[in-house]
Amino acid sequence: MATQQAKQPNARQRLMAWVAEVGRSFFPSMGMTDWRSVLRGEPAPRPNPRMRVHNNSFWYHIRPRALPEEATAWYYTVGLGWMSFYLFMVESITGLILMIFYVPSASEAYPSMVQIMTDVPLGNLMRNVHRLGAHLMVAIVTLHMVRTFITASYKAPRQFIWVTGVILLLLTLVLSFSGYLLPWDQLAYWAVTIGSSMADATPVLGDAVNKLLRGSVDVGGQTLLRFYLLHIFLLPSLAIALISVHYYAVRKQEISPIHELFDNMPPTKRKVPFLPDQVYFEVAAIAFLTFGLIAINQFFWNATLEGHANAFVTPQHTKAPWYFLWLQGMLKVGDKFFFGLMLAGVMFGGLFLLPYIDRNPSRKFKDRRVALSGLIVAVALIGFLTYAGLPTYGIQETATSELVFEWVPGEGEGKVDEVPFDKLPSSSCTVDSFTGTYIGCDEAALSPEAKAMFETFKADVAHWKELDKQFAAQGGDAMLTVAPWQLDQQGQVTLEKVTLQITVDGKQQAPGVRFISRYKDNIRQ
Amino acid sequence: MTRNLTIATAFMLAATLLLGYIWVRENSVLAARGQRFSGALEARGARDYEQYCASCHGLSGEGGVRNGAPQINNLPTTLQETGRLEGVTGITAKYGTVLNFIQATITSGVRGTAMPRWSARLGGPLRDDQIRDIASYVQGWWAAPGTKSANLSADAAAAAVAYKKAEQEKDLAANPNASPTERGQIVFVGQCASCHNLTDKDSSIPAPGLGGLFGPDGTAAFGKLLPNTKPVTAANWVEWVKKGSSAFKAGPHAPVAAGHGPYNADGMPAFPTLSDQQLGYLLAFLSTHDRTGAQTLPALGLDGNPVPATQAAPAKPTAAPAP
Repeated sequence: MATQQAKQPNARQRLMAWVAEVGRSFFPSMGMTDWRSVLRGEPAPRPNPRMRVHNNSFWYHIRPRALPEEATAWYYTVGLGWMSFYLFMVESITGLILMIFYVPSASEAYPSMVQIMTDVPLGNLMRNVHRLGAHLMVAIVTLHMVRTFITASYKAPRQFIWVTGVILLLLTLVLSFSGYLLPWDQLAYWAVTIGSSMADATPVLGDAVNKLLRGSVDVGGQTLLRFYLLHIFLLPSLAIALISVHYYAVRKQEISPIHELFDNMPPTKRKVPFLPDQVYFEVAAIAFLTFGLIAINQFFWNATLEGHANAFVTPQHTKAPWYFLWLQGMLKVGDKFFFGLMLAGVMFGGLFLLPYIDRNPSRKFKDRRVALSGLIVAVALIGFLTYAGLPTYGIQETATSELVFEWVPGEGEGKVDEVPFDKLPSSSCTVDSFTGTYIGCDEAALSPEAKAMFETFKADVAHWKELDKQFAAQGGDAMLTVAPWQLDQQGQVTLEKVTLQITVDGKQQAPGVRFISRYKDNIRQ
Repeated sequence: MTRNLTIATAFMLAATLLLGYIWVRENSVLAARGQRFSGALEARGARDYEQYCASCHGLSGEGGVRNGAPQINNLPTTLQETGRLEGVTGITAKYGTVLNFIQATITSGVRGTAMPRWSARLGGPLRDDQIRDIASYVQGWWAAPGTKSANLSADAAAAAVAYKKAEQEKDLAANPNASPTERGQIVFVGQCASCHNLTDKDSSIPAPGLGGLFGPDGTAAFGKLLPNTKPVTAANWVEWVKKGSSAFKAGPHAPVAAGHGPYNADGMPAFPTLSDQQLGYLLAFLSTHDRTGAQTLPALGLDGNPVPATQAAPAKPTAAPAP
């Protein structure tokens, strides 16, 4: 009998094999026999192969039984990726709590913010942690990317991890930005107005994109609802999905080994067990970071809430959130389309394609001089653009608007607010920068704090006369008046009125007015 | 490993203690922060008040700068003393609190007066929160029982007097060479024109048109009588304007011609703040109008006699202000 030739599988067998392969790629361990038993409605055997993927694969990949020892060196990853995920969880938990009290409507959003801050026990802490966590998350995710670049961890076979990471960076930025609008105060309103006006630069579709984003021509109640849904539903869902993919891929490819960076470091196959070593370390880190977040928010930092959003009043020095200042800088340096959209597009496109552009297979520092110089240039460029995005850069500041901004601002606090309320003059007191004299009050009777404030005012006007030559040439001068205004039933002052009267060219301009409440010094924390 | 456990325990303990510390203080902190917020909102209200309200009600709510706006810097006291809080249609029954009443008044305006609807919901410029802030500022003014003077600081009171004088002078000084008739027109526009027009038709308030008031046939609505049945003379007219219709609410009431009215018996506000000089200008202006609104009649003085023509003749024929 001649040796039988191995049978070529026929078309049907090949198709079934392909189906089984595809099935395995979604449900590892589920072969054709298992699928057949599923379709026949037979009970699952024990141990249940249908559950194996859930039991083992996902959690296994996020939390493996052991980590390569090389990956746990603290100076290598600095735990930035882990910290990003920790902050994501902090944001989710505090965000869920805030969601209970927050109402996403143009008329109710601001009152509900006030309620959270003044009526909900620990509400202010939750809001502070949420806000600080958002800032930190943007920073840490960015640093995580920089670290990955420096250690060349994006190179084959980890290109895909890098791409998902860049998407996650974008998601983090958009998540943070969409949350920016929700307090519905002036800061939020105008930052988002600036940010979303970037969409205008999109060729052809600009108007449509802008309207899609805002839901109307201007930022309004529709925008708030859209940003709210983006912030609490769409973006977090996407982020959860992508974080899972990112984690899965990292576990699958393992964290890039550190020994590849150096010539003289021997590789090691040693592993650190997940339990107890890694778990104990993470619990310690969680405890430390959580304590840190609460302590910072209790003692050192406080999220501001400015006045209610007002489409008719643009506050001075409106600026984008700090992580978008470089975009604002680009807009100032160049044209909206080329710099704002094209350059930003090229930058993010370059980030996406980085593993495919940089084909140099070596991860050693000495082989990556061009790439690492590129990083330094990029950091310097972003640094400069961020600086250019600041309100002070490239804009001719006029003495009139700056004096108003510093002494009687529409939002936030002016320099008069820095004086404790009971140290403010007890009767009307005016200082004229032209004559340098005190009008209507006894200079000696003023409290030292109030005296210092008025002297600062004189110095300020003199300072602006030097900076703004036109103002000085036109004989510009200013008068600052602080007067008790409203009294309560016991005759105590409840409101002080601050008036800034600027005179230019012999003409009095409309006075800048600001009132100060006696409760302004109440604790903020 | 043990070190990590120690660190974890220490910081968990520290976080718990810190949260406990926050929790124990939380009630007083919330109250203090709430005060801080309401204070800041009242300060905002004060700023909005100066922008939107002061041009009629005055810098400190003393009223009477324009449009016969009433004094509003003593509301909690005067509403109580005039009995407006009690009763089935009183403020307490209808609005609950004085603050709500002030808010509602700003929101929907007052029918029959120059007070417009301020709410953005009704086409005005103000959002609900701005109205709330302004109302809490207005409610912050308070007058000692039995007095009408509010709890202003001396500086605020002085500033308010200066402001009122400056604003009314600004209106009159808009045309420094004006004749009494032309100055009367400024007074009319400032004080009367938000309700009255100068023809024989009712305005939309409704308020009677004042065309022909001092002419041979009087106004179309009341003829030769004032609404309090007194004949139209300079002296009676001055009394009517200064006291307003509330003073004559008890009657008798002059008959209203068909096609006019009905008018609100409380509709005509009192204008005690108008000076004799202003009333003289106003009378000179009013008395020149016939029923069509044309200025064909001689201008009268407060003594009831025509003002000398050289002084009274308008520099140019002025059209009646739009109602």
